[in-house]
Amino acid sequence: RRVHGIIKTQMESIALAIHGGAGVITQAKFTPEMDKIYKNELELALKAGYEILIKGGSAMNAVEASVRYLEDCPLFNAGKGAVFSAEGENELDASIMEGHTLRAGAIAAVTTIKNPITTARAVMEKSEHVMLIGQGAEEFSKKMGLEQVDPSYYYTEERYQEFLEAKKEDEKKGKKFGTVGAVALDKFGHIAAATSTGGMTNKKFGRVGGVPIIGAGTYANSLCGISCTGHGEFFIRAAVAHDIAAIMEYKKVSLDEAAKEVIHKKMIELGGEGGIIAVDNTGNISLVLNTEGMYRGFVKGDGKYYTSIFKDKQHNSI
Amino acid sequence: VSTQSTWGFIKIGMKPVAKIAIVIHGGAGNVARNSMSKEIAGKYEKMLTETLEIGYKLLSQGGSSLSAVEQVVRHMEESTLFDAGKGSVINEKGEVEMDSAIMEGNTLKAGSIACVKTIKHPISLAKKVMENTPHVMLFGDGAEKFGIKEGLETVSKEYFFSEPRIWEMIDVKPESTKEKKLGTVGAIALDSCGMISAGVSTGGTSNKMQGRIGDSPIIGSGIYANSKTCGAVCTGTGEYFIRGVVAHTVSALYEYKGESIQEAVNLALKGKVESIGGQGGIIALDKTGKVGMVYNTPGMFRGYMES
Repeated sequence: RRVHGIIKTQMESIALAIHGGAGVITQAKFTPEMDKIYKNELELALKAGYEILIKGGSAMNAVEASVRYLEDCPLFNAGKGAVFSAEGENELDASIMEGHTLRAGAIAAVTTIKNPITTARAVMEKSEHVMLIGQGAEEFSKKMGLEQVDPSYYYTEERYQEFLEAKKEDEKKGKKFGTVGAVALDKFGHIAAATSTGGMTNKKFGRVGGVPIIGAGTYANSLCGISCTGHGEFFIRAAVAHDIAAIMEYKKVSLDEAAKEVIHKKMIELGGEGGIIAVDNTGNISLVLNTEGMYRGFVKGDGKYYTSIFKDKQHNSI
Repeated sequence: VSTQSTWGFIKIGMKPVAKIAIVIHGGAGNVARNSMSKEIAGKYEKMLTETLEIGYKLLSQGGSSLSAVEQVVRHMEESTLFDAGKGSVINEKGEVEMDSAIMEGNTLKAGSIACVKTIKHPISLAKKVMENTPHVMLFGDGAEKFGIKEGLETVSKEYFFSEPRIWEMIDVKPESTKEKKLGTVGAIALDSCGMISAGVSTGGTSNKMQGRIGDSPIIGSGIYANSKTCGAVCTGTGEYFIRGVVAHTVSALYEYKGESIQEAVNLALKGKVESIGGQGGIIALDKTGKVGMVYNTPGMFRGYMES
């Protein structure tokens, strides 16, 4: 019984959650076909990370794999499929954090890197710094031998149309803020969190949002890991990812309680829209949003994939 | 050291006067009593006192903590004694790239800029971002163009170079990262309306990579202000302060664990910075005007003035 108990514990103690962005999605406009397509992509992204975890791989490898999948998928605002800035360009940000060492890496405003999350990880592991921006980040990425692309690589017709619409409506605050992210707990009990984005549609030249800001869009320590999506400015001002971790640790409440206090209470008071995915060191997962929808999913040791798009009562916290 | 009333008010005669306070730092680092000449120490003391007086005067006349913080940081940016504005360190490409941020504790509004090269007062640019854009953070050319559009003063890139820094860089290259002189500037103020504001400005670390961003322009890491709790600003090897989300940690310890402001900075430095091998310091000011200061380097230029 003891042998079975050990195996059972190892299997159950892994957990992975992902998101593909909060906000954008209006239930009225979402056809059953779209529902199927998006959920399928979310499952494949989960699979990429899950297969690593179940074989005893690290949380860092798992979150990077899931986020890379979402970056490569044109449906989400990260990597390919990134939204356009006010200048009609794609500028991408990403960050990653390793909970048990508190190591972190972040890049912002890059235009020729195929998988920003991988470069963010390289900053963490292969440089003396935590955050690099613009040209400096791009040069570093090239030096590391990471895959570069032509700036046109990220283009999708849909995002370009959104950009033209936003330009027409002028100062309409980009409600089109998507992001992708992943958080994981591996069999060693280690946690990692990763987030990647193309930013906000029609964003001002040089604007840096919440995604590459450690403590705002991404945070992980030995107790929990969080990745956020939403209106970045609010996440920065409220240090959302870190606040959730701090409330959990200092007020000694559950991860879900901490996440709800921040997203359902504090963020709403501040006027910020968005959501988070989070995992704690015992495998609890929390998916909390204050918007109409957030592409999300999770999987645990039993290998069963759960995916969700709208704010429904199921699958919000396990 | 003055005794401080817990309700934040001090009676003078029959009239209650709101507590005001200003705390500043000019960087933590390799500055020890025996390694600094009396002459230079005197220069720093004079500069810190002068800076405090500027901020305090503004506050005592009923000015906002936001204005006080901006004016005080501008004053330190103009001095070559600190690694901010004029006197900023040089990066690996031989250039100056400056970062700055400001935060207003009533609304939690914030402004941050990174990697600017020709804006004379980065703190004022950060304030413009906060007040005149829907964003929190701008960097590089975008930030500079915005600053010019807002009518901020620009200077040649060479304006910021100051001889000591150039020697420092030559000393630092190629591989030596020892003896990093850590000299960011920061300020926190509490005004007569109970508003807490914070500001920071820096040239970063010697010989840093191009595009490297430290903790100073990262809201939550190098700077945080919340009038319901406290303001905190940090200085040191920025990477550790980002990983520790240190400034926000101070506020979180104060708010969620009920720690005193001094305990909060102590715990934050020890638990979030020292524990992972980092060096530096934190100054903080709580909503009642109490000051907290801590550093684990040989020294930290600092000062405070309160009612």
